[in-house]
Amino acid sequence: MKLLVQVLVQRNPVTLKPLSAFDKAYLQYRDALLLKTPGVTKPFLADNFFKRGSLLQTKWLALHADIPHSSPSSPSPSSSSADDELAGVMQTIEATDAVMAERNSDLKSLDRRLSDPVFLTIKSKNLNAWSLPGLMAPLPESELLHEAAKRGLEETCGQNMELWNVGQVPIGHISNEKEKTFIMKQLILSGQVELNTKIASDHAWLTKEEMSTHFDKGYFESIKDLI
Amino acid sequence: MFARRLPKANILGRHLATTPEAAATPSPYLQSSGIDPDAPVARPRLEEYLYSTLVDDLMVLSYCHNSPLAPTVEQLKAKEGKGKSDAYNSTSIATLFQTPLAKLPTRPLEAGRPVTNLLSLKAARYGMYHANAVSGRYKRRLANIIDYTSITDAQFAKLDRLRTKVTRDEHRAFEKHFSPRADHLPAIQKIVLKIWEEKAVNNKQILLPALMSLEAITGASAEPLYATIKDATKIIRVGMPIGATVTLHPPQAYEFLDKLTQTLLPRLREWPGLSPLCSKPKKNIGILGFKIPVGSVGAFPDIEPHFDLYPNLFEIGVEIHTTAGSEKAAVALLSGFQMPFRERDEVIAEIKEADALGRANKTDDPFAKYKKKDAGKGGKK
Repeated sequence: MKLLVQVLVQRNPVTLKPLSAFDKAYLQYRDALLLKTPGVTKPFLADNFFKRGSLLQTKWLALHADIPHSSPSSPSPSSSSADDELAGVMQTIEATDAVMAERNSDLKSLDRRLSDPVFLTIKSKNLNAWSLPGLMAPLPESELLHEAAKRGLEETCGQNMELWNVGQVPIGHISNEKEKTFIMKQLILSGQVELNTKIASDHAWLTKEEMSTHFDKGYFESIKDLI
Repeated sequence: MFARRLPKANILGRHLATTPEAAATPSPYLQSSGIDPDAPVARPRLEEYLYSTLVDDLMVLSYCHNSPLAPTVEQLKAKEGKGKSDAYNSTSIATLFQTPLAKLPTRPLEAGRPVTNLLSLKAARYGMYHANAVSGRYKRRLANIIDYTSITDAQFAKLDRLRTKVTRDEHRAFEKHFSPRADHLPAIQKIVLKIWEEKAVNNKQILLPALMSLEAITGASAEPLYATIKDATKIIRVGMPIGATVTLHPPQAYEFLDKLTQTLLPRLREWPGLSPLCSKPKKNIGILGFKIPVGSVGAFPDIEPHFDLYPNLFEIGVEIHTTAGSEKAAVALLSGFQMPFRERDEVIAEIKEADALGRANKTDDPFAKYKKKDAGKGGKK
């Protein structure tokens, strides 16, 4: 029985996901409940922060007079200067969107799909198929799983990545009659892939949906629950 | 108050937080509740990070394959065929969410905390059970809440047996001690901030800035803390207000934790980090805590600009209650939120040193404290 090791290298999501209608409704429901629960939110007392009757207090109160709240934590501003600021922010967001759309299409960029986790996949030369990176040869008896995983990844993808092992225990395995492949998880903290062109011809940082199209159906079925 | 819509201000919220799906007709609930559907919602970053990303890694780090409770492959396959698995034996987090709509809790519990999903319902029930199971002379009062008359021991024992029989099966499923189940993964239960200042014995008024500072930091209502043990040497009587406290539940707890790690803790000078040991290991294993020194409380972004408004600030004790069943799981959870910890071995060594020092100084002579230390000098001549 041959033992093989593959590594799931994950880049964690960097931004929050866009909310679906259900998510938004749930969060609004929770906010509304919290507003009703006593003790959770203290009504803001301007007297605690300003001298009573001072000019500063009058100005501040005028600024915050009509604010529709749905959440205790995020009131929306309503003054005209805030609107101008908002217009500026909107322009920056639209510009960033354009840049991000370009980055999303570059499969090798670590800044793609910032709201989803992305995983490292390589196209091995021998099999000419996409798979997770790992040890090409069976595991020698003297070596531990997590050490073999580290070695296999360095051989295939270079030593330029700063990685953190999520424990020393595999997250899953794929077994046939002939061989068992254990899958270890690592998180990438910084760095990039320097592909060893003798072993692999291409690499990509893919989300789960993209992996389902790149991988063989059987292979993806056996690892889809680990992602 | 919510009827007025500000289109410009809400474009930002709409752009960032919603998908085209959300622009559909609002639900009848939204219309009747008075919530502005375009206003942004509170999205604690750490809470979303926990449930989307961190929880997977915590499971890998804390799963014990050697545990007798870990199911074997045959057991898992056997359960697949049956469909619904019961609460005690469920091994997947998905079963918690595959509940028919009629069974979902839709209103806050009488206990006071709003509950909106089965995970927090379990936690709330467990909390309620333990809140009622106090010991000592208060136990009997809780037995008859209608007219507060005391009942005989036999009557109490019978009620107790009935109550424990009903709750035992539910709460076995929510064991505090670790078992390798997906729904036993650690999460933040609550954060409690405490101020205890014995100088308030003489002057109650100094508690006002204490309460205000806690409210400024957290945004929640602070309550005074009363003395429960008398001390005649310090002129403390039971019931005197000597401290202040505030309890934060999720989602505010996650926001406060974010504030700590991003703004306050980086500004603490010579702070070595949290101790990875639990202070109350027997009672509740998942509690980790630390103290914010007096000089650093002013570093909070809510207090610093108005520093002069506070005549005095106090040391704040922060207790982070988690649903973790072991110290290591609690440490893993909090370090996932970027809380810095000390080395476990160093802390244990420090405690042992302090114990050894204490034992070395201890003597059996009851009059030791009255004897002069420089005994060799002799008396008056």
